[in-house]
Amino acid sequence: MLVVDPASHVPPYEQVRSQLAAQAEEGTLAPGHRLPTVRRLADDLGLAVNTVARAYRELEQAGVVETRGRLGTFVAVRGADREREASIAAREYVRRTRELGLSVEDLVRVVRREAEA
Amino acid sequence: MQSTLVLAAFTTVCALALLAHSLVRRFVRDAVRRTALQVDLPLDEATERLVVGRFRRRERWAGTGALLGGLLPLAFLLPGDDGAALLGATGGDLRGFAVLLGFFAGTAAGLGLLAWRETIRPVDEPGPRVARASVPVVEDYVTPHERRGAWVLAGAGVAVTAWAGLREGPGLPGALVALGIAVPVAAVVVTEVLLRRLVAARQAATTPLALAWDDVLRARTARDLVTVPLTAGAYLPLVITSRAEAVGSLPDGVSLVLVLAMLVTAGVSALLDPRGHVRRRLWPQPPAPSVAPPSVTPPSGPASPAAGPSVPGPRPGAAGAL
Repeated sequence: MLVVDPASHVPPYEQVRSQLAAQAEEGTLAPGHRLPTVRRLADDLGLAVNTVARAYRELEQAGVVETRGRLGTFVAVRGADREREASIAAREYVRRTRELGLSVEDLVRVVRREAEA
Repeated sequence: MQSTLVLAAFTTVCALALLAHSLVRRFVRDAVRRTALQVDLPLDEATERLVVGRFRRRERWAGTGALLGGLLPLAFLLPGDDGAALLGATGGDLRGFAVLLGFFAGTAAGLGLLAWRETIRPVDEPGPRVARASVPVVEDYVTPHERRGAWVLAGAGVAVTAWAGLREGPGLPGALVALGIAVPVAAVVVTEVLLRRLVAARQAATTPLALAWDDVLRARTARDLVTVPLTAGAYLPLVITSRAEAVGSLPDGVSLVLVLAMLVTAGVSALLDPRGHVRRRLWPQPPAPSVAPPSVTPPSGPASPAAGPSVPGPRPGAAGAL
């Protein structure tokens, strides 16, 4: 939930930026979470489109979000999130290769071959 | 024609009752409190005032739309021999269908227009504004079984009509076949377009509770929209199968089976509590009766994120996450 107080001395774009950054940092907004469009968020909060656009731009420059063209703006996978996401993917890969009866050496060999391809 | 007029009179009375209900504030307030219990959302004094006002507007627009929608077809329907020639022996049933569909479509149109007006009205309430950091989707407002049920019924309507047309050939009026195919398809397509527009429209709220109630009202409008293709998909196959039974193309009892299937579906739908769907999806922890949202904490540095206000609210990952 985002809250913008027009009476605050904090500029509206900074209120939006800081709250989104905080929620991404806390994990409330998970990596991959799609944010509202600039226009929709501006309409909901009663702000100018450029105000929200600036907040999104600064978040993207800080690596908090990433824009994927027409698909929208998403919370980026960062730092510890990358490690966590990679562990989840690896766990699934190990589970599957164990079902196939591959040894540890085999699954490492397959990963290396695919990574170098 | 007489049965059509009786149906038109019934829908007119329903529409007028809705309009009359909206005039008595106490009735509307009681309806709002019942809704609060049904969807399990709290109400504080300020929010209740706001929601009562919106309920009253909903009833006025829905009642007006239902009144016009139910009566308008009468001005265009072909009475007597002309109708029978064009629509065959089902002319009377189809006139009734037009009145019924007009009633539901008029209601949905009235509510849709009101929803559009409310997204463009200036927000007069001073103070903070709240917004969710996620993207709601149609499934947040309409249960999948209601939405897909409308598609399935429309498809069944088209299939039954096509089958009847192939079986009876020139014996089945062309206009009936055209209506039986075009109306359900058009109803589904238009409903889907309007649902997406409804969900994408602005939600201006000054408290999380007001936003939650906006979601409840939005869900009601969405479900009223879905009623139109449900009606079109349910009624037309009944008309066509009844006719086919009457002329012996189908064994007796098929339309009864259809009616029973619809009743069972409606019963299952009611048991699944579609009214509480939006609250479960978007507000798994309902917002507290407030109290304005806490003021924004200024950031501690230019690049470091501030601890944003902690406001109980929607599940941000519920809609919009990959």
